[in-house]
Amino acid sequence: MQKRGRLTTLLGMAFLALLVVPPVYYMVIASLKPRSAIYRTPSWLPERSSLDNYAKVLFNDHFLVNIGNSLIVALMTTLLAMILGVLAAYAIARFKFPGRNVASQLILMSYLTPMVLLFIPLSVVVGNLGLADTLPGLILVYLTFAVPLCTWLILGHFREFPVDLEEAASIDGATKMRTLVSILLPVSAPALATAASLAFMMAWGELFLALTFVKGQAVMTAPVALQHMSTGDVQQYGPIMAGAVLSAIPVLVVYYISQRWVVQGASEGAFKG
Amino acid sequence: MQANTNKAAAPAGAPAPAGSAGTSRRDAARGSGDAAGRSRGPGSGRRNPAVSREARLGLLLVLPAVAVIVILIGYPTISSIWYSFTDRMVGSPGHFIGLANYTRLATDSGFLSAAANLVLIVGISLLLKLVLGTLVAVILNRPMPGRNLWRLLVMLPWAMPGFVAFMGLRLMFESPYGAINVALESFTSPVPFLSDPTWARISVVLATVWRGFPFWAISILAALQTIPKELYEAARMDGASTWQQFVNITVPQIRSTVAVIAVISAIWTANGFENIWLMTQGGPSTTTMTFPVLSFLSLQSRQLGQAAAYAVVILPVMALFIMLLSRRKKEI
Repeated sequence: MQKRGRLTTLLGMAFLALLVVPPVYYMVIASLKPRSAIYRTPSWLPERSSLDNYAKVLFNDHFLVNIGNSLIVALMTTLLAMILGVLAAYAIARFKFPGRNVASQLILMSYLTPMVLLFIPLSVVVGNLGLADTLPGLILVYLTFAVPLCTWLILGHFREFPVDLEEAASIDGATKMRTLVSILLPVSAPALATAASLAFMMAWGELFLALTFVKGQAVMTAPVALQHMSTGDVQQYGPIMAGAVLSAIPVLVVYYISQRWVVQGASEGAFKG
Repeated sequence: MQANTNKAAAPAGAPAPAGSAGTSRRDAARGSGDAAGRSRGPGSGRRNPAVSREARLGLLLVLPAVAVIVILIGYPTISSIWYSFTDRMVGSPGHFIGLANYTRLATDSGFLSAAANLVLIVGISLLLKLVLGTLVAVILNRPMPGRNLWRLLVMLPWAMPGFVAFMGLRLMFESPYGAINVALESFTSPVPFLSDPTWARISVVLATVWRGFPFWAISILAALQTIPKELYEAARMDGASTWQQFVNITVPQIRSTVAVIAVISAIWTANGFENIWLMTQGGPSTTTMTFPVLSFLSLQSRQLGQAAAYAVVILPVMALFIMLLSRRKKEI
């Protein structure tokens, strides 16, 4: 009986490994192969590994600039969305004002509005603002998913957190805003981390809007630059995979730090309230 | 001067309400401690200065987020719907043409293919994600060495950026030199995974499932861990087999979680762009076309009116998903 249990466990582990590892492994060894050897001598074995592809993508293809753009866009999107999200969530969760319910409904609906519906008029709006093909333009566009996401997640948490502590603080004479900063925000750290991580991960990997809104080499984010390399005349899989591996690292780091909360947050964002 | 000192005294992060005079505001802030404390009770509908101040501050705090939503989401949504009734092009505002953009869809091979793929690609992906997600969750729920590391590993496809995942998967499915064809080299001639219509659909589904199953697995795992162990012990005493335990205990206990994940995943998958764009760009011909790709391609061909119609026509489906979602929410 016990032997059978151990065999099942082993089979289970083998299944998980076979399911997840091969594409990741192949991507990594493809990035380590000498240029175009992927096509000349395709193989699952990591023969003649070198960092040539990484050097090429970073220095010849200006991918460092693209990574930098992605970093600026993802960080600014996250920062702005978190500020707007915290303020709006605080107001909706703790203040009585006309239109409060409308605001909260508006946020849920906008969270679920498909991007496809927005991007055509948005390209007109961003163009009229003179922000076409700029990083601020892309950041503005990313707020369309980041603000509803952050507000909704933080709101869900604020609503669950009992108001007693804040009431005690307000009796002690603390202003509403001081209560937010010194009481509510510290106890909400996990929810804030979840919202920020999700916003960062989404903004970092976003391709659809980025393809529409940043076209110049100097303002391309990492996914756009790699996409352009992959549709070029010669498909250079080595450097592309090197770029892909590099662009996965920041997101995986963020995910590793916040993994305890992120998955739950991703579904909570959609079904709370 | 007065206003400046007052601003400095206000806590960081609080934008000063527009139009409130310096001194009176500070006094109000001092005095509002008690008033606000009292006004929190059940009878807080009473009109007093503290309440209206609260209302003003509340509106002010919510304003930036609402402005973003109205300007960047509300206005574009309405514009999109309007565009879809016009022959607007890039650089030309166009004219109202009624339902022409929509009636054209009946003979539009891209549209018909996208509609079919809403069932074929999105639907089948969801089904496979359910099966695979449940299987992986059950495996992860067993005691095993290094369980946390296994959980991390399983999350990898979902945690990495989508474009990285699908670029890697493209490399797997390429023909003739993709990874799978290399592995099959000695058994068969290269399989046209991305250029044969049927294979292209299968490949896109498999890629979508690989990317998305971890979210299902981890969410279902969380639900599995809330099932009381006594239920299984009692069932074992009664001589129930593992399969019977799964069907009679596990399935009913995780059903509501699965329903919610299914709707969320349906929304994500139906709106997915990278999976198709990076693997097949909707091809060969329009076999793997989906609505986001269709809309994106027609923006590239500068037909704004037609592109908007592609986006608007999927709205009823999205509305249905959202309705299902809010109904499920109430049941939980």
